[in-house]
Amino acid sequence: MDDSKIICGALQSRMEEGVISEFTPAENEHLILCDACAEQLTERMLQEPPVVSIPAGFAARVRSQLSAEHKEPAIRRWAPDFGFVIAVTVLLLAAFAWIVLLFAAPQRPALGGLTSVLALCTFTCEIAGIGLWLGVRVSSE
Amino acid sequence: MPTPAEFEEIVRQHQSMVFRTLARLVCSREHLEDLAQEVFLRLYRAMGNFRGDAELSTYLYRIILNVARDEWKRQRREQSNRSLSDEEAGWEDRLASHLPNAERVASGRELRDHLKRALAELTPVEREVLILFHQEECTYQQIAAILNLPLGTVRTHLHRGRQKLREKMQERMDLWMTPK
Repeated sequence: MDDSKIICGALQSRMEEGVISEFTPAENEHLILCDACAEQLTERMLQEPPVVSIPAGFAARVRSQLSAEHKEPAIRRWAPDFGFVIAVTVLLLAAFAWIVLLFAAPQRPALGGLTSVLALCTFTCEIAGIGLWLGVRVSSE
Repeated sequence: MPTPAEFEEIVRQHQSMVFRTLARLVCSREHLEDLAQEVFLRLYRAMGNFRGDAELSTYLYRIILNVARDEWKRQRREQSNRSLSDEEAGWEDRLASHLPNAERVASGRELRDHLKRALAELTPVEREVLILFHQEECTYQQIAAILNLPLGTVRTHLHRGRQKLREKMQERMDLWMTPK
């Protein structure tokens, strides 16, 4: 068995074990001439990932860069629609008042009474309208 | 679209892959953090269009390759602007050649340096295919999807790239051994 084959066998078994720390001048010369060993060496070296240390806090820096680029969307919290609530409450109260006046009163409302009920109705509708308008403004802000 | 907080978690999961792939592709550690940051920023911006029809890693590899290609262009421009480039090229080889060749032992560091220089001499696509296949252990199908190339072309680039890399390594080792 010639020297080249001995070096070939020794080198290939070392490379299979993943030992690519250093080569003697004889091994170096062999690697220049032997395509099989040189190919195995390059493949082994490619498989060995480069040692790269990731800078501390890298992910946090990326995040802060993103936050600077795009303003972080505000967290959406549920907020009651006060205008709507006021409007519905007032309308319910007005409806209740109507029922009381029409059916629970000892007499059916006279014209004067009806006028006051209509005035009360207009007043409640105005309040409900203001409530709705305020509610729309608060929601859009 | 993930929130910045959710995206930070994605960064943590993929950062080591991004750093090692970039390090090998650009053959330099200079600006590595800036490049990695650019990769993730591009990923975030592109995530609005990401519909999950491809794996996130495939998407990420594509971005890494694009960032690396931009960096090669920048390095080439910088080299052509540098008036003393010829003077600087190969100074390490010349310095090393002062040592007695017969007693020289090729260390792992020197071999890695040969590999880095040999890789830099390949075409971009050969280098990309070799790194994706050997270092990142991607399949032919994955490489084809990342590079948007037919399978046969990927195989051809891989075969040619391996052959060229081996020849260039041998040339470099020969040059390193030969007294000047």
